[in-house]
Amino acid sequence: MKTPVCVVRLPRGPDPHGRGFDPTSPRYLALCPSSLSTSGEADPVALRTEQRTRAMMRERFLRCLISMANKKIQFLMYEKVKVAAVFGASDIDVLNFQVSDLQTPIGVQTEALIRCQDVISYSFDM
Amino acid sequence: MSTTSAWRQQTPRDWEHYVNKQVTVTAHGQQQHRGWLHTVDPVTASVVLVQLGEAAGGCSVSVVMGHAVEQVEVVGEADEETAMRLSSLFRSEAPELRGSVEDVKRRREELRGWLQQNRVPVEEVGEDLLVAGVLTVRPPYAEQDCFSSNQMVLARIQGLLARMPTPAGQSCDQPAADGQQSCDQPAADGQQSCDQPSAGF
Repeated sequence: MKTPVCVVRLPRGPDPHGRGFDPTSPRYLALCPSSLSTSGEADPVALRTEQRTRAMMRERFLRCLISMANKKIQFLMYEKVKVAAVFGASDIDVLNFQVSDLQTPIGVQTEALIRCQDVISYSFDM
Repeated sequence: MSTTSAWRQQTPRDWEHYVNKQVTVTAHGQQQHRGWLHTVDPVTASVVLVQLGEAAGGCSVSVVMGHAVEQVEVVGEADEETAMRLSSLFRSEAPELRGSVEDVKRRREELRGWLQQNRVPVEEVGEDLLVAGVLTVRPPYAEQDCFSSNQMVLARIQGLLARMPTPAGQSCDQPAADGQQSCDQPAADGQQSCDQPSAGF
């Protein structure tokens, strides 16, 4: 009798019906705070206000990200590293930035991924 | 707020108190950033600061990542004009949408007529238009003023809005918001072909 071959299954991809944001995914849990800040209000009215505030502030932040597209951004990173690049896109958890023409001390990277955990601040002109 | 995690522990309601205030943010390594606080991202607690230039001119924006924020101190309050500038900062409004009260009213009537022409149920609820019972259009009735919890309806109505003819007989200059290349509804003036984003004709 032949020995059975163990079947290796690839991990499941993101839920095709979801919006890509899975708070229970191992990636999110490992890299983001263990829970979103919330006051945990039991009062539905207060919860509704908090949700509205959260949505308004997130919308403003997302519009800021949109306006950054194709602009030159200065990144200030740890260990006094300063680099400039043209902003491409961000992922939904704001953990990575996709940039082009990254100017580094050892040369220019045409396309690069910057980890947001390494960034202290970034700035650009409108 | 003397430790990094204390800033991230706060709730959106706490963060909201800093919005539209002039603040000094101390980041990792004693770096200081000053500016008008535009928003705090609820997911990462990152602080968006704006340094405003002259009246209609540009401005510079710096964002301090939430994990690097050590302290946020309020140093000033915004007056009405600054607050208005801040809230409209990243919104790109087409010039023809800014107008007087009559212009906005006229646009609402046009929009209502256009939707009815396209057999979409619409009713007026105060200042807003309630479309098909699930989507609200607020003044000034542009594509970005549509609010709905239903993505399909939102995409269709935004596309419809983009194809709305203006009174001069030309279609809107913006391409359809959902990127559709083909017109599945006949334009009001009877033209059937609509293969490219219209550039005005």
